[in-house]
Amino acid sequence: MIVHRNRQLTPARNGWVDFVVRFALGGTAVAATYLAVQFLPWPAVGGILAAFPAVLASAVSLSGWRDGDHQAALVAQGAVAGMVGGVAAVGITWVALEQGASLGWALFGGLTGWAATSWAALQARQYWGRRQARRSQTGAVAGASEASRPGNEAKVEAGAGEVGWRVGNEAEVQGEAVAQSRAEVGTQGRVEADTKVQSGVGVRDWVEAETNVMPSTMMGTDAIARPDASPGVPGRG
Amino acid sequence: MLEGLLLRFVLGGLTIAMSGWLGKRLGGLIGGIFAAFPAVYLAALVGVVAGHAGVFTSAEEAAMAVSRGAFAGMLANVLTAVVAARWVERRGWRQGLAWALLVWVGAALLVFQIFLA
Repeated sequence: MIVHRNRQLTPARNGWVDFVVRFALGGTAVAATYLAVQFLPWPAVGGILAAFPAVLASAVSLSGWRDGDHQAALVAQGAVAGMVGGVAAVGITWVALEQGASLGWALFGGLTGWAATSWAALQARQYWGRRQARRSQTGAVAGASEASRPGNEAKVEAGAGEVGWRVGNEAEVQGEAVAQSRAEVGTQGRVEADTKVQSGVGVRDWVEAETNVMPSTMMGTDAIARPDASPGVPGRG
Repeated sequence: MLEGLLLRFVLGGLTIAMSGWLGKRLGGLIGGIFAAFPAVYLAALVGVVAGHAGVFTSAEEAAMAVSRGAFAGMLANVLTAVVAARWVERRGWRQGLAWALLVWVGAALLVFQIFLA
């Protein structure tokens, strides 16, 4: 579990702060679009403001403020699928209007396209998360094995899905997990690793791996070295 | 004029804040989809269409102008989210978000100029 260093300064976890920040950003974007379309010599340029990412900006800043940069980055990552849906909504509405559809029908088409595209993008993302989970599982085991060599401590960076795979949660939303492996001297081909989830879910787990290290070669060596002596393990999401 | 602007600010703000709240409240897949509801676009569209007299000949023409620009902005949004995801992690959320929003402005204007102008 990550403890935020400025816990005292973070805003309360009730919905009001979110509501006010979204209200301010969204209201400003809508009012600015109106002004720009009315007064700029090119009304369509004003339309760009109608796509201002107010929700992304508020979600990233609130998340960064409360939970730190890593969580904010995950929020931004999650927004990519939603943005694809936004492209579909506006694109379909615009093309329908160009084809002579009424405003009502154009908006209906745009919103239907938005729902379908967002759903498809989320499904694709979940599929990708599951795929990453399988790959990172392999990477974590390989890293733990590497850590068992004398003088090494491997920092295993497992991809998006690993922890979710273990706890049966929505892995692809949580992003990456970092497993730090400590090799124990004289182990019988078994390495344990604590997995700390940076997103704050707080899952502890261990990775078991078969090692090829002969016990005699490890005698008297300090198996725990610098954390940055990473062997470059694959599997980062 | 000022009343109209204030009205659009309040209605737009309420729409965006409510859609965010609803996305959280619904949760799961539906909530995830709803969290990315293009509320700013719809609210801005209604705001412009409601006051189109004098600038456009019809509601459809007003909506077309807004949608053309918004399409460029939406394409830039995809890039913005990708950039934000990378830079927020590397440079912190304040700098990362600021840079991502600058990228949004640049990309939207570029897309508009090249393909839609």
